Amino acid sequence: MHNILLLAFEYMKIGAVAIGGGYTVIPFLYYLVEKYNWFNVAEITQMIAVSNLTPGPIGINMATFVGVKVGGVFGSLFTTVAFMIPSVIIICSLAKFLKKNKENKYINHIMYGLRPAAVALIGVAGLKIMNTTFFHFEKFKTSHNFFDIISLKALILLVIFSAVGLKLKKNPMILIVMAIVLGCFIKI
Amino acid sequence: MNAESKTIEAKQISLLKLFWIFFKIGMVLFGGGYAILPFLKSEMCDKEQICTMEEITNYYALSQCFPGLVAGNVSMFTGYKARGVAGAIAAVTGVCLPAYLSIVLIFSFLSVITHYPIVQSIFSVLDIAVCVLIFLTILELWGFSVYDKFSAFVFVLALCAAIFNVSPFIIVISAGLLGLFRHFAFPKKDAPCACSQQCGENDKEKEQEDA
Repeated sequence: MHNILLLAFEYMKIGAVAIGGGYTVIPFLYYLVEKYNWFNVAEITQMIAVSNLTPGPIGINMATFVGVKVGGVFGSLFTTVAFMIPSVIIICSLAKFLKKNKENKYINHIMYGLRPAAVALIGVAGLKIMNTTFFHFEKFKTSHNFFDIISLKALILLVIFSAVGLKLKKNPMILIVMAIVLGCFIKI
Repeated sequence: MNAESKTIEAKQISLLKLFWIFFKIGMVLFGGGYAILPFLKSEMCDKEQICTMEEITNYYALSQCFPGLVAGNVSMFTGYKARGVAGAIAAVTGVCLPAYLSIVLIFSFLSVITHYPIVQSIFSVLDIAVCVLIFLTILELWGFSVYDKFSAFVFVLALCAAIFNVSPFIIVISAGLLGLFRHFAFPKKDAPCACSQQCGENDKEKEQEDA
């Protein structure tokens, strides 16, 4: 129970600062891993992949995932609701405010600073995933073979996925399904 | 933007119906927040006539600038337009419930199958796809987030801080304060509202569609 309340509190904080959709939550997941050890780094990419395959907003999928992991069904309910509370309050008061006034310059100024920071945070989260996926320094230490550091197969797949992804910008599902099919045959 | 001319009075709609509409949308929503727009258009503009496409576009732009999930925020704005705070809560509950239920249902199944080698192999390929998805997201956000000297400066600063493991909470809050500080330090400079920029882009897209 203590864990669930703690997680709900952490997730409420995340809900209050994560701007720009589901992927902005990812850097905060790394932060949770470092601070609490409730799940590990490999599970974060698992969560992202599964969230892309299941219906609904990705952020909710991930919040539920973390919640079930830490505190079962009960925990997931707490986490997901806690995650939504800040944005419910913010958006409802904003909608009320916008009914009367059109814009607020202070909000504009704050958001002007916030957005690039959010992009940087997602970027670093991406780099962290790349680091574990493409570079295998442990393997190099035992084999002393240079080709073991960078996984060549993974790089080729990266190029293929990027090409497909850029073509089908608006449909992440196809990319995930493709990765699953390829994963049945290829071992990295 | 003359938003006023394009707004309409919302028709009466019951909370339960509102919830049900958004529940249905939540069930077919895959991927990022933008995926919700075509569904919102057909349900809320065409069928129920709660709001116009222009309003939804504005809501979408605003949703990206505020905390929370884009799809959730858009739903709340639309729900608020229909029935006030209660409507917003009904809408967001509806849109999030399928996501919640699907994860709860597959979780136990997932934790059983992850021990098989083939599933582990699938997940290692999925890692690469996830990398690509993250960088595609950055590409999408880049245009209206990092576009001038100040935003580039904040971006580099936040990047360095994140690499050195500064807590993301501290980074986000100080970046917001930096934006506010800039306003007080140089009161004459205006903050370009990325929201309206985004609206402009969407308008262009729409014009192209119309043509």
